[in-house]
Amino acid sequence: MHATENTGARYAMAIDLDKCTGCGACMVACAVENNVAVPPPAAAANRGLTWMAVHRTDNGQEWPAHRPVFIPIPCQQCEHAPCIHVCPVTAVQLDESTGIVGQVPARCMGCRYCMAACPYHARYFNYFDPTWPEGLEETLNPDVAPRMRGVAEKCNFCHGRLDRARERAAAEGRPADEVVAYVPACVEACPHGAITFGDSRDPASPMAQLARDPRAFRLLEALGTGPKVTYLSADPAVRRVGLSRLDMVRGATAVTADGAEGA
Amino acid sequence: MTMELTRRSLLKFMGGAVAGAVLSPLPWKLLDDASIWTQNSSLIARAPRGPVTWRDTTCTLCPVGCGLRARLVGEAFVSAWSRPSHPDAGAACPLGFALAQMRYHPARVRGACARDARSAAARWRMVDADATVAEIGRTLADLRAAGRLDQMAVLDLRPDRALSLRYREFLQRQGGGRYLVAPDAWQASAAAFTALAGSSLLAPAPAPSRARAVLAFGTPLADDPRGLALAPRDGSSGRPYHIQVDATATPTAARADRWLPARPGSELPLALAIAHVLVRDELSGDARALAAGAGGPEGSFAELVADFAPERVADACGLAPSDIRATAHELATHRPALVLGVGDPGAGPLGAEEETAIWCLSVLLGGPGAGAPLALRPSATALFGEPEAAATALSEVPDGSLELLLVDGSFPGAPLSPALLRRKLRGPDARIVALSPYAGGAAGAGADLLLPTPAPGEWLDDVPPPALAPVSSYAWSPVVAAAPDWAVHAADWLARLEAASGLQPDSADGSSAHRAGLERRAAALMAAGSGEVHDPRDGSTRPLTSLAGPEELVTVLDCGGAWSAPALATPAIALQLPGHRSALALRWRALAAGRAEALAAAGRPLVLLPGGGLATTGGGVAAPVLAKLGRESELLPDTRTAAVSPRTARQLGLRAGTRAELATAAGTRHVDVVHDASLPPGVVRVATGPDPLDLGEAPRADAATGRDLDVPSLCGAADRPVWRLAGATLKEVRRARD
Amino acid sequence: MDHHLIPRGLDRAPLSRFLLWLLPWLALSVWGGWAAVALFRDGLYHTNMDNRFAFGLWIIFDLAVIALGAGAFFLGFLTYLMRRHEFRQVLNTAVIVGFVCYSGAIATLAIDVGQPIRAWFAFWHANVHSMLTEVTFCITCYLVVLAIEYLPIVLKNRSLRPVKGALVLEANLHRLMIVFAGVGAFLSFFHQGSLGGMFGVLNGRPFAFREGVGIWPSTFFLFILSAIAAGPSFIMLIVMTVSRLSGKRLVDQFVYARLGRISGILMAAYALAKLADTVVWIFVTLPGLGFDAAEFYRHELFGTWVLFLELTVFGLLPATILLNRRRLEDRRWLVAGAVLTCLGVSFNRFVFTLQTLSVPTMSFDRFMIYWPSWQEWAVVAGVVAYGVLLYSFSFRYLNLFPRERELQPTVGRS
Repeated sequence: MHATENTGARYAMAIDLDKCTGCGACMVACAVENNVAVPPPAAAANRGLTWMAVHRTDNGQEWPAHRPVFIPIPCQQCEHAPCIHVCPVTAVQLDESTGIVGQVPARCMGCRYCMAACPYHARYFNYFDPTWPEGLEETLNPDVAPRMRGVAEKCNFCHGRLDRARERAAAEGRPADEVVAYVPACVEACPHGAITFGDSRDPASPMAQLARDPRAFRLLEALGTGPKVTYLSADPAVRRVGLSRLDMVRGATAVTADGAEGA
Repeated sequence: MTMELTRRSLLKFMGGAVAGAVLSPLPWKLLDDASIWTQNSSLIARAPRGPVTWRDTTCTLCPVGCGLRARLVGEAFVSAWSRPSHPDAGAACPLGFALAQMRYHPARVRGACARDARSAAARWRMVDADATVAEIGRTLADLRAAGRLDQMAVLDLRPDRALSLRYREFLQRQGGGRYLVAPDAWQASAAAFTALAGSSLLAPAPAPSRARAVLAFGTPLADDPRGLALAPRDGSSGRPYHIQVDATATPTAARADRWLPARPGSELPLALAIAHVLVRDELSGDARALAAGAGGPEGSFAELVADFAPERVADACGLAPSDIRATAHELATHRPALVLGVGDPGAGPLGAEEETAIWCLSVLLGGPGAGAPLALRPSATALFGEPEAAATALSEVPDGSLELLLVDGSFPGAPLSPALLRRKLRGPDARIVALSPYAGGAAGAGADLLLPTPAPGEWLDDVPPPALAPVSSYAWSPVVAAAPDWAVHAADWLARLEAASGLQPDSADGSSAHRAGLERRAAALMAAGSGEVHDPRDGSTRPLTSLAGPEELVTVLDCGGAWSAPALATPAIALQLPGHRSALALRWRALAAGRAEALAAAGRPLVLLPGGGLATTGGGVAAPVLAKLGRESELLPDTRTAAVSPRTARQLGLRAGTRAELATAAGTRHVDVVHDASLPPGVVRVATGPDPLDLGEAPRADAATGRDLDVPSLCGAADRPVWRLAGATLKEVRRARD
Repeated sequence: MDHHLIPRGLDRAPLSRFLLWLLPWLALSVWGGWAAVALFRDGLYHTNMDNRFAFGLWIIFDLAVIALGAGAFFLGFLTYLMRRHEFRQVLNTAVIVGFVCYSGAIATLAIDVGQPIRAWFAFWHANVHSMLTEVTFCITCYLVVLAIEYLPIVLKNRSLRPVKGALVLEANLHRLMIVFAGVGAFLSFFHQGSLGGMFGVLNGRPFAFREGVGIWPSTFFLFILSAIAAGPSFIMLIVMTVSRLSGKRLVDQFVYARLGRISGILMAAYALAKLADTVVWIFVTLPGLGFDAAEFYRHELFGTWVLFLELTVFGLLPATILLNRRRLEDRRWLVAGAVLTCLGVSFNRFVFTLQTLSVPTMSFDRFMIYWPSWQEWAVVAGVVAYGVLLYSFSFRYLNLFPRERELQPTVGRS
């Protein structure tokens, strides 16, 4: 293999599900940071643009055995992203220097093949002309370009913030290929410190340790997509959330004592 | 030589030209330009441009007052972020992150407005501000002349601020009138403690971090920004043993060491049964002495709780007697323990009876005292050395008794029912005047007249310590964006109203006087000389005494700094537990079977459990991005769905998505049925809080007909201070009605 | 009134009846056009697609018509390259149906993409790794080929006789037709395959993902097989319908049986390949991805009947019908076999598009369904109407069936 393959950063995220209370701060901060438009009130819920989407699930039991589980799902920034090779117009690319899967809205022609390809439902389509209630354009973030209708979009680990961090580094005279430290909006916003972010190739980064944490799991790892978002939970039942439903069922037959979901 | 132009040669020439052009850069350049052109559209919104600056401020969207960092691009206030260096350690919630959008909320008004609020369909119309002020002034003067000033009131949804003082001063100048408050769940809990302690100069400062065990009656400890939050279970070894009482597996209950799935509304019998076990089994060292009490005419606490053996109340609580006994023993072995009330703040206050009983448990288990989990701190009145306020709770005002009600709109998300407000009015000419930026939310939703004030972030307010905060604190909310010229400071409106009512105001410039009031408070803190100051200019925290003087404190507060002081070192009072002959004992016995039993009327087999929305807000104005969050996720249930457990749904024959009519003794509301396995059988839950399906213009409740009521009104909020439960029915209705 | 346009010796309905026939189709295409204008103007929120159902009715329709339109290239391939001259009798119809299917699919796609103004980016910023790029290139090129194949049929029209060049061009094109048939066959094999590949490569969607055979997923070959199985059946059904509507014998009877037999052979091959593919998918592919096939078929709408239907009623059953020589002679069995074949390939495209998106991937996903909005139906109806209109005009004014004149009873007038 090429010597260049392991140069550059691999920004990665770890989300501690034991700390997440489903407050939604990450979703709001993400929408504010990334100029995500508010769809018209009549719009179907499933047409929203939620780059960070906190899903609510449970252990499959009824009260009083019921336990809620909140799973924040940003784009998983897969190393072998299913969405990259399907895009006919080269609007999705893996940045070798950061490991971030970039989406170029200005290139996208809106065929939505990438959305069909993504198993995490982390891609969104602008069904509407993005509009803001009157005056609200004043609150748009100048570091992030607003998108137009008819294009796909998704989380990019706050590319605007990465650019700002790089500008700062350049202004301080640091070398251009140096890996800069920054945090995406959701990481900054989480009031419970549930989200960790950093370069997983940097052995000193907490990400490097978290990836080896026994509580760690990834979503649908068997698909081989190589997601860069790691989830953490001490609860084996919560860790099963990362598997396909089949594995949940199998797991339940193996551990019938805790009575997880039956077939 | 003649050149003949034939068709063939022309075609050949054109073919050659095309072939040649393809080899030239021209067509490719054109295609590239076309590609760039398609990437630009005039429909794409333009973000503001300019140098990026940051300004520290404090969130005023709820009474907690988290530290915020405002990002400005040029003069545009673009976004707000939490402040990890702030004493709250960066606790801001989604409301705060959406602060910038509150300035452009669709429900914001651009001038004085009026409508006939008696009619549910009435729309706001712009009116002349001077004429409106003159009209209200005349009403004031008339009431004063007729000696009917008790029919005039000011409702302050965030009491204890400098502006609150100004409202009281306004009433004094008029010569009367009522100063009203509508305590939220946290304030009601603190008020119950104050009543038990018998001193309005002290406030409870519970600190779970100092307890070895915490029993919480619904308190949302998983999410609390005021310093009560418990670390996740395996996060730290110093975490107290946590028992949570909750009807459903809330995020807090799911994180607790033990969850007691008590029936909704059974907090009182449960608390009394735990007290019973503590006293009977002599589990608390000084419980016997405390419970014996003074033995005076009120009797003893021990005799009072003797009636509440776990075996007797277990059914009402939906728990096994052994669970109750075990809880008491666990708390006793983990002393000092802290017991908290509050419940789900989205469901309204817990009721004075419950809160008092719960505080009694804390007293039995090791507080209040120096270093105890239940500490005390000075109330806002004591902190600033201000005259004591005679505030009346809104629920104590009889229906049909007010001619003019002024509502302060500084807390747009306060849990308040517009239908409840309107019932307090007498006669057809009675008016509600809102001093609010929004034609919606707590103040605007029920109002007839609206005098526009600046939006949050546009005016300097102060943030006194929130109810139940473990420490004393004080901060200001420095202005991060200029107010539009139609938005007038509430203090200026008050000055204009005073002038219009024929009084001579102290100063025509109300906002300058308000600023002077804030500075007086800073000077009072400085004079007391205790505590420390977080200075955002250098991120440092240093003793207050290290500041040069009140001017420097003002400078620090103007930069978004915060003052804080730990709870009092020594307990200033000895708490007296209520005896078996007290008035409270009578009320306790009346509610011994729990609120659900007391409320369930014949033929209403379900228990309506409100709540589950954003914990800090009621039916208020929410930023557009929060409306988006509510619509596009399952985190913020909307107020138009009713959740029932799958089992109950089967019994009622209600499939998910069915349109149904939810009826209580107070009225009805149309809802869509959803199934929610987290709910116990027999319970129907409807969210309170901002309706995520609308941006502030939801159809208003029609109090007159009792149809399509808001959730607090549906729970009978108009009749009693507690609106967290009601007996209800849920029946399918035909879709055609919509 | 339009006698001078109708090919000599052919009997066509009076103009008034023809116009009456056109009327409903015109109305449908106006309806579709109206919807298309709204979609171009306002965006795709008029559809019922959402973030989960990124593909909807239009993609199902596109895939189905492209598969059904495969008759054009496959019959051209058989006629010109395999020298099966009996298919010349239906070749013109195959070309027009192919042209209708491909142009209709491209028109639908142009509405389906969110930024139609950037549709050409697929060429300008092509991603050579994308199956969709392959599809776009091949379909566009093949549409040009179909246009070229269509041209000589048009040029033979009576009214163009006086134009000298037309005849020359027609004759020249005719001589070159074998080249175009070859190019068309090559392009078509690829894009029919790539359309299958589009789903087979979705490694994030275990329902669609298939093991590779060479550099292509197995669906690449399954889609080719099913398309060339359905193509002849579809052409046969079209010709039968036209013959019935016009009340004329248009081709020799044996041509129908030949078409049916070809469909039958290919359908048998497809059904067996599909069976093998399904077995490999269930026992090798899915366990490797952490999934179980049963998981995909436990939802209300898509039970195991889907798999059963695909393999038997829409696979082995038409194959057995169409492989039986006696049944091929029986018009009712022939039609039944052809209809099942066409339905089967359409159903396969439906399943690949919709069930792929419906079934959950993550454990906490919900099964979802989708129903198209009226605008989506209108566009599809409009494209179908456009096809009917184009074919109606072609049948009336062009000589589509070389044997038509001979096959008519002699009592007719000139």
